[in-house]
Amino acid sequence: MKEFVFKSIVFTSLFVFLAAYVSKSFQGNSIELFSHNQYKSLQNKIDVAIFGTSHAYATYDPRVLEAETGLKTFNFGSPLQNISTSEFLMRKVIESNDLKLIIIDVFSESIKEITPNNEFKKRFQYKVLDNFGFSKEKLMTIRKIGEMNPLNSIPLYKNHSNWERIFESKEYKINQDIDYYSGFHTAFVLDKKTWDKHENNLKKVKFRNNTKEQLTLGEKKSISRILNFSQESNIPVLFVCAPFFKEIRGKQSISYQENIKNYLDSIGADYVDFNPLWKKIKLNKYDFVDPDHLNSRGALKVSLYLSDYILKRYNTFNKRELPSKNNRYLIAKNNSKEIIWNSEIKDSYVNDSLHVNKVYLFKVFDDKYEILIEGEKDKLKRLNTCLQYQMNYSDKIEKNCKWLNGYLEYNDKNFLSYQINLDLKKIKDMKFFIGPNKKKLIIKMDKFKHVR
Amino acid sequence: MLFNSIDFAIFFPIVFVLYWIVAKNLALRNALILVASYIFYGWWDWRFLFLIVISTLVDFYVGKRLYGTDKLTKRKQLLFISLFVNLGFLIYFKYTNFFIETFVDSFSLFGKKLEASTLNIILPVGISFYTFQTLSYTIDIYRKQLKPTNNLLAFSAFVAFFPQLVAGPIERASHLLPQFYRTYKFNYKLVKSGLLLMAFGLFKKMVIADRAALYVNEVYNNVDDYGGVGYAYATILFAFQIYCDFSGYSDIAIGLGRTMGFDLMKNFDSPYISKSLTEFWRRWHISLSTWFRDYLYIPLGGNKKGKFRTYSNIFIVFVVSGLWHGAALTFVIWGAIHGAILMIEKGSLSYRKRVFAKLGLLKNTFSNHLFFGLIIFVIVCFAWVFFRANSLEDAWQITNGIITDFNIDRLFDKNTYLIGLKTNEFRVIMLSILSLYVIEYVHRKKNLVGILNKQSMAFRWFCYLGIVFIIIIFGVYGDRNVQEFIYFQF
Repeated sequence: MKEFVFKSIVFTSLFVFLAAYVSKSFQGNSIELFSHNQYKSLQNKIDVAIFGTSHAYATYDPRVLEAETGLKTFNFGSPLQNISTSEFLMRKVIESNDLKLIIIDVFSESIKEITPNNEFKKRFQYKVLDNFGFSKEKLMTIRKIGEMNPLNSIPLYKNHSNWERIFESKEYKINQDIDYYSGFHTAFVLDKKTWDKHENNLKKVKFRNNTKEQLTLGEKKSISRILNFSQESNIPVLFVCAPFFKEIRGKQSISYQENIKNYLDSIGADYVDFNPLWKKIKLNKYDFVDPDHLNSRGALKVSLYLSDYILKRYNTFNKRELPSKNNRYLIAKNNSKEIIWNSEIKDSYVNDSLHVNKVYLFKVFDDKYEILIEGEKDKLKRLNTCLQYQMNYSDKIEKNCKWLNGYLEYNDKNFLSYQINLDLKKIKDMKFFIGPNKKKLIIKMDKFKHVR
Repeated sequence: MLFNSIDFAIFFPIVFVLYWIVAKNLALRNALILVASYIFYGWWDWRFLFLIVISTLVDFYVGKRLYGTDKLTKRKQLLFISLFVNLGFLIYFKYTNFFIETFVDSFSLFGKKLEASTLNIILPVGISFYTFQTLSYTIDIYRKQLKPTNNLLAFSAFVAFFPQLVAGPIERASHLLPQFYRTYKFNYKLVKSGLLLMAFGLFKKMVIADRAALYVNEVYNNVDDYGGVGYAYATILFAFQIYCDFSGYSDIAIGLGRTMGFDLMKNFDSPYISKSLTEFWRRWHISLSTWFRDYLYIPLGGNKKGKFRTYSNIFIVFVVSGLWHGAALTFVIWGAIHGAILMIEKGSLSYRKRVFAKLGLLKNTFSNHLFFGLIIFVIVCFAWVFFRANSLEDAWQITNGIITDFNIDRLFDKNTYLIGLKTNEFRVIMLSILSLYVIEYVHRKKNLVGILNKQSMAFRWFCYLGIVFIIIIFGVYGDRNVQEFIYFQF
């Protein structure tokens, strides 16, 4: 009997150890995991943490907040992130960072309690929770999001049917057209098809007028817990609501949004709703990717306003000198020389016809580089570009030519961004052209000494 | 409670620890088994516990009274009471609606349309199994082959013994009941072999049966959407599904019993290697086959009353066996097919022997085994169509489709053999079935656990952990829903 008990304990321990190890492989390759790894690479130096749904991660650009406020910012937004998940994340981030400000994006989808049978919504919470080890708080969060089976906190159990994926590459590749930085991600331009579809559907929608819907006790408790915990930790909390097309949500959500505002006002919480500020921020249809999410330009506008609000409202922060190596706004603002390429272009055709004055090339993160093209305000709006390169192992010349449309207005200049999803260390030659038919070569790099 | 559920994963270790703590105290141990068994059963629906309690009490007292009297009339009366109560419950809960529907359908054949509504009756899980088990107790006492017990607690634990309560093996009182009078010492090797058997049962159930079910259910529930090749694949997969499902349950039950020191009878013995249907039934659901042999076939006269009676007895037994499985005509036809083919098999035995001898088919060679094994497998699969089909119409459509709409081009068409499955899942099934054959083959020749025990500890543990991880990773559960054991419905 003793032998059996002893061996059972050893066997169970071995099993648990192996299961925990194997479990990581079942976590799945997702942008949430990618963001989590990005967060870990920052080595606990975050000043401002932003939480919320896709509205949050597509709206609040940490680059702008860093450039404007000097506060290192990370956007922890994730699809359909529930307030309970936000609370869990907030506690985890506070544990290992000396946070100065917490920003939580709240609207009907994020604040509403998840019904027990809403597997779709739950799945998105797990994508975030899976990145954290087993803990009591994690179990409590799983319970709060309406899941009674604690085994669902273990990716090996929950995702076991995805066993084929363990043979796949663990690296998550950010799509070339996605503008990603410290958890923030969105597209540069409006997705016209989706937009038109929504706009057409909108005409058929009959709005419901349900003004009676109030915040539930559970929802109020979640907010109170967040506020109490932040007060205990002596960190201010700013609740925000990202802009979205009012017509899309319908009256039900609008009234619910008003109830959120009323409740936050009643408890004295700090709250900024960007929806009534459209004119002030100068938002328009073309600042959106789709009717629910801003594009890079829209995010820049909102983030500039938010930065200004933070500076005015919380002016006691000690600003830090943040390195301008991979933040396009800091690079442009400081004219950073610590990057791969920084050159002013003196060419009448480029300056006068293409309205381009300067070009920067820098590394955003591993395998992701950016060519930032600076030009005249109100003039540089679109540009024909072409990237030509040769891989180390091949003599074949690869080409990637496209129109850049999503211009960004910052610091009285316009910018266009060309995203490179390549490891430049694996390239032996690269040329970057602008203008029709590769008219002007503006970056020419041999052997990439700078990158190496 | 399902063996392949989280509830059971929590329930079993608790019961196991408590069991070995109180193992030396017989009364306490039996009380624990009884309480655990009632919790196990009540987890599904506690309201039906009363059926088990009534069956237990009736058979306990009938048994005692039977033993106390020699008067034939009195004995018959007492046996009738036991049969009436036990079969009464079974018939009411399982067959009422079937009889109503059959009655209405029969009238419609004669052009009379009857208006009748069926009753909203829930079929208590495992009623067919424990009814047969308790019946064997009273019948054996009636036949004076068994002495009744005076220990109500032991008897109650015997009737409700949770490892085999809901899907067998259907134990005989003469074999299992005395085990409740004995105390057991903790036997490390026995417990380990029990746990291994449970793991093997879970592998069969969760990796093979439940994955095959994804394909089978899709085809059999949407018969109009598929053709002959799809039907054939689904039927072959169903043959493995039901085998792995049911024998997997039996393995877990036997393994569970073993971890507590109990010896439950073998229920399956590699049935798909049978070279005749008679052999198949010696290897398939052994506890039921022997039950029907002892309590129906032999009382009907067995093979002692001439050829005609022998064949008709076989046929009757298999039709009743079909009806035992389910209250539907499809099950009756399934039984009838087996009965009819067994009749032919027995009737043509001497003729076949002569022909086979001339053809050299009686030699003990691999090719002959393979030849007869395949023929029997095809016959069994043909019968499975009726067993699995949701209706007689579906069964006809499937058999007809396999014969008339068998497009060989589609045999290797991914869209046909991957219905409801991913390519790698299909590979997992194929590989698992192959490994099942290998494991069973090796185990028949030599005791696999014995071989394993001779290996180094590192290798043994590697194998144990491997089995656990294979079940966790390749098992079908969670988002694809835990599948009930097929035989629960019987």
